[in-house]
Amino acid sequence: MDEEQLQYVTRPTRWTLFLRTFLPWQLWRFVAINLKMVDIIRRSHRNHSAG
Amino acid sequence: MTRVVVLGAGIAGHTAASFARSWLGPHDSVTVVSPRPDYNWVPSNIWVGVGLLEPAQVTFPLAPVYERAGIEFVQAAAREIHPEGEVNNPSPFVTVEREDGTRAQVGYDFLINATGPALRFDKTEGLGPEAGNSLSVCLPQHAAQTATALEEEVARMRRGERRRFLVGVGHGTCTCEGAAFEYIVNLEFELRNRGVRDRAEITWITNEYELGDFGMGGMQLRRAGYVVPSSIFNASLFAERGIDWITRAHVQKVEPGRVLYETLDGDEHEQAFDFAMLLPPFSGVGLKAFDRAGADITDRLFLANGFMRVDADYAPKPSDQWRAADWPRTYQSPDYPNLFAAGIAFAPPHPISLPHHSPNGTVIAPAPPRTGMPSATIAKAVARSIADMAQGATAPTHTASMAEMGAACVASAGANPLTGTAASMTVFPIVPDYQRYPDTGRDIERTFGEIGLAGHWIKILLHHMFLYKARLRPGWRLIPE
Repeated sequence: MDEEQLQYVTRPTRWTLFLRTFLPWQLWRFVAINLKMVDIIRRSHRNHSAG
Repeated sequence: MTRVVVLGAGIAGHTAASFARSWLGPHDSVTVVSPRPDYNWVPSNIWVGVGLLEPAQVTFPLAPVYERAGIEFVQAAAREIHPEGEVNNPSPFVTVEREDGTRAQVGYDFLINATGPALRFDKTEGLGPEAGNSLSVCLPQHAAQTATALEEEVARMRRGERRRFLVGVGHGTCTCEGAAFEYIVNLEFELRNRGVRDRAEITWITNEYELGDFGMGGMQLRRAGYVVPSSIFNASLFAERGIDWITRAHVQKVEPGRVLYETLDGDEHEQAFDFAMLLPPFSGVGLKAFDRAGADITDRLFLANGFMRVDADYAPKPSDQWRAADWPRTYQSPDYPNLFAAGIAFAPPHPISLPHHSPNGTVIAPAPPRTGMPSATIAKAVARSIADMAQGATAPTHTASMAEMGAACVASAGANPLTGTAASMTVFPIVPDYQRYPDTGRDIERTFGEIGLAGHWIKILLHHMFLYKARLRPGWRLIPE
């Protein structure tokens, strides 16, 4: 990847990088992501009746 | 008494057998046929491949688990399906072959083909750890071999050498780009942890049209007032970690120290490496099928790629006419109502990602993924239908279309309880449905992704939860697929 390519790539800010491993924020995200995943699992496991 | 036979003991086969056993009556039987003696929680092979886990931590012997659960286990490879039996015996059966080469017949009333993929390293000259020049993490022993090779590279870098790492997929039609993605970011993380990152050049090579496609046509995510493609997150992660990338590539040949590859524009290139982890393309395992008279009916039951025909719409059509309804719902064979497929073994009607060919006619497009959560969800629905049909239902009672179900996925990006991260993603549905969701094909409220330490914690949790569930420990049914 050359310098010109790098110019056009989205990159995280320092704040975003900080939040990725900031424990209080990540504890909250742990709960929030699990809730999102439970919602997806629930919707995917409705065991739709055939026919 | 109903006899249910399950071919394969991977995520789909093991899930189908476990639920069938718990839903069928005490006089019914469930038999699993698998050539390998162990269960493997494949998603954690990545960590074996970077030396963080041993193969024994991602596998366990199946025989004692099945004995406890009342499931018969036949350690053998399935070779032939005889759905009409044979002239002197109209009862359907499968022919299996044991490790010592002896063959036996296993009779069934219902058969679930969950044989998973054949790893087709042979499709690319020089690909693979056994007869080739590249490494893999597809099997625990492959991953352990990769970890040993990585240790040697780290030792060289500690002595001051610069080393080149190439990670990705080894053919233009591969799937499972997500697993290779997990490996490359874990590799980068480990090289940093071991203090040698500055001596490593790391390159990603993929058949994806854009980064983040993962064989699902990518994802569209809501972020900061925009709906943006998942490619920007992959590119961002690679740029942040100094990983170079090559997209739209079909690896033609892997020689010692270099790969030759063609890109979608038809040009041919080469890339030097000291360490290459390249996943193979998949096909079906090569099951044959015969009618009562002994005539070969393999073409009726299977597509040319070896995956099994089920209740999908296999009529060839251009990508702008692909519909969610093309995807199978019950996974029942159109020819034999007591024959089902689950997991990777069923034939998708077409890709999810748009197809692309180079001017030379080379197909360079990911095949659709159907591992993990969708495999297990399909297997559970098939087991439920069979349990109901054993009790008198005349047709499958449950469905699990990939165009109607979502998937939750956690891709590790570095394993450490305080500094590690993982990309947590959900998509709904897996196969885009542009009639239901005209803008992006998916429910934008339920399709999301984010990178952080929380994802790593979830990944650890899933590793332990799913191994507990697969061991059929008390309460295993409470853990969702």
